[in-house]
Amino acid sequence: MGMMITPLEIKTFIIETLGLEDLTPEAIGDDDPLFAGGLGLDSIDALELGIALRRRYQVQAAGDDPGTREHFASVNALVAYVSQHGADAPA
Amino acid sequence: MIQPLPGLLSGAWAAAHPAALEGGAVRTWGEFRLAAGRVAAQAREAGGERWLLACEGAWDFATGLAGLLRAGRTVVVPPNFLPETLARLGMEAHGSLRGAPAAGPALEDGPLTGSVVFATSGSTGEPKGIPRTLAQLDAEVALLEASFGGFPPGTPVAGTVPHQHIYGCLFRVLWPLASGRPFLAAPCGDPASFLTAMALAPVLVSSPAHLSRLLRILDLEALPGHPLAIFSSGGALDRADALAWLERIPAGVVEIYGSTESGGIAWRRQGEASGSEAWTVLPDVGVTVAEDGALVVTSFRAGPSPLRMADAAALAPDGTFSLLGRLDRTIKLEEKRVSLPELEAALEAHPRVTRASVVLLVGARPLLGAAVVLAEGCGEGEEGEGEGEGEGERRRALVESLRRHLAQRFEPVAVPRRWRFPAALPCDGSGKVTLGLVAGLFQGTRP
Repeated sequence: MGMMITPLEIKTFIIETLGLEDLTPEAIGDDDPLFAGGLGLDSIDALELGIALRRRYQVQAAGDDPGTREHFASVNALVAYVSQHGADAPA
Repeated sequence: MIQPLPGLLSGAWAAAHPAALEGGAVRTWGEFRLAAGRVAAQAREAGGERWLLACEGAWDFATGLAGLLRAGRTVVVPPNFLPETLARLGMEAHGSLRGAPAAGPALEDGPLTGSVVFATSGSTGEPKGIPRTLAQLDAEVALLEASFGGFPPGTPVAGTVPHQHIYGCLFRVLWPLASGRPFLAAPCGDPASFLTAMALAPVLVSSPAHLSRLLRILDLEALPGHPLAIFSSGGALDRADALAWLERIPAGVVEIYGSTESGGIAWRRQGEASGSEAWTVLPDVGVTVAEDGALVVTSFRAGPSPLRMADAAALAPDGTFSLLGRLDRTIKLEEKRVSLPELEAALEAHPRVTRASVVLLVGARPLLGAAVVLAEGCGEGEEGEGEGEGEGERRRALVESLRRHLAQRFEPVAVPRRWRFPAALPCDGSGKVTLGLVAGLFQGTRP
């Protein structure tokens, strides 16, 4: 199962999920680290993002995949992850 | 069996007994004593009474703590490892331990003395240090084992919470060490490491921030193993979340109420039964309620005189109590203690800021909002005119500058997510800035 998703969609999704109203998608680089410095996000933000990903894209954000942390490393990593494991949420 | 803390290095556990698990490898008590002995020798050699324990890893932290206490030092534990925090605390200390010394002579095993100071956010705007004697910490650990312990030696202890706060320090490090249960050095707050940790059927030391979210990400029925017990502290766990864990984990979640100043005060295990949301005081604690509603605590661990908490409480005839909310402006955000006056003072130290007011915004997820009045000549486009392209850029640059300023000493959760730049802070009829009016600035989307 897979779906097409763009970096812009993921950036908008991150901004909306975490309430970062002063950030624009353009201000987030595709390969910027999301959690180490950069946007100033922490492990609770990572969990929030995991919950929202599961809801919006049907991604089982944790499961048995030991690489979960790498999937959250950057926008590009998330795009690859959602494209591979996601599905559009039923309307 | 429990080893009193002063005798931690005196050989209760055999050299081959596991002290910690780090990245899948066992760290033994032999290694623990050697590492602590090296720290002790280093501290003796360097001299100086007050030492900053700035170790980000729980193993280095634990051996560093034992070693510095073996050398009889006063150990200052920082609330976080941000550069400004460490610089400030380092200036008040005679020595600083950043990591375990890799080699060098080791002091022989012997009794621990000295004391610990937890540096934390104060309620008045100034950070403060909260001293804990070794006797108080030891009483804490003995009480935990007597009230909630009894897990076999060798049961691993996993935690999602930081080891440098008193809850994590006691539950994730000191209690496991004293009871011969290996602690997982790495925190397991993210889903992948949580699953790895659960396969060990550990005692889980967690918080509402993690328990409520992990529940929504993970399939609890498919956990590779069940925790033997779950502890939660730092804030109240939602009843629905507590019941969801109880449904899957028969032991349920034991919530602990306490503070750095008081130590543990009370506990509860929320279940189907009515009344299970009330807090039961620990056996060595007395509680009363002051005239203004504040809970007042008496115990050896809380200090020589009754300690007034910043939480309002109501006592029930059966001796239990319920908590009614904070009385001061130190709030808990994702279980991190955040002093709003301290944030405001830090903002006002920024060259472009004259006044600042920080409020907690409640919503799906509680967030901080900062209303900031800028110095003359630094006006930001919220005074009526429309927001042009350049203006949006300037605003973003300003917010970024303020965020970076705060991030030097506040953890990410304490850095406000919402910003407003009014010409003046909103006042009521008597000229007093009220928090309700400030919070009103954040209603709707920003202008």
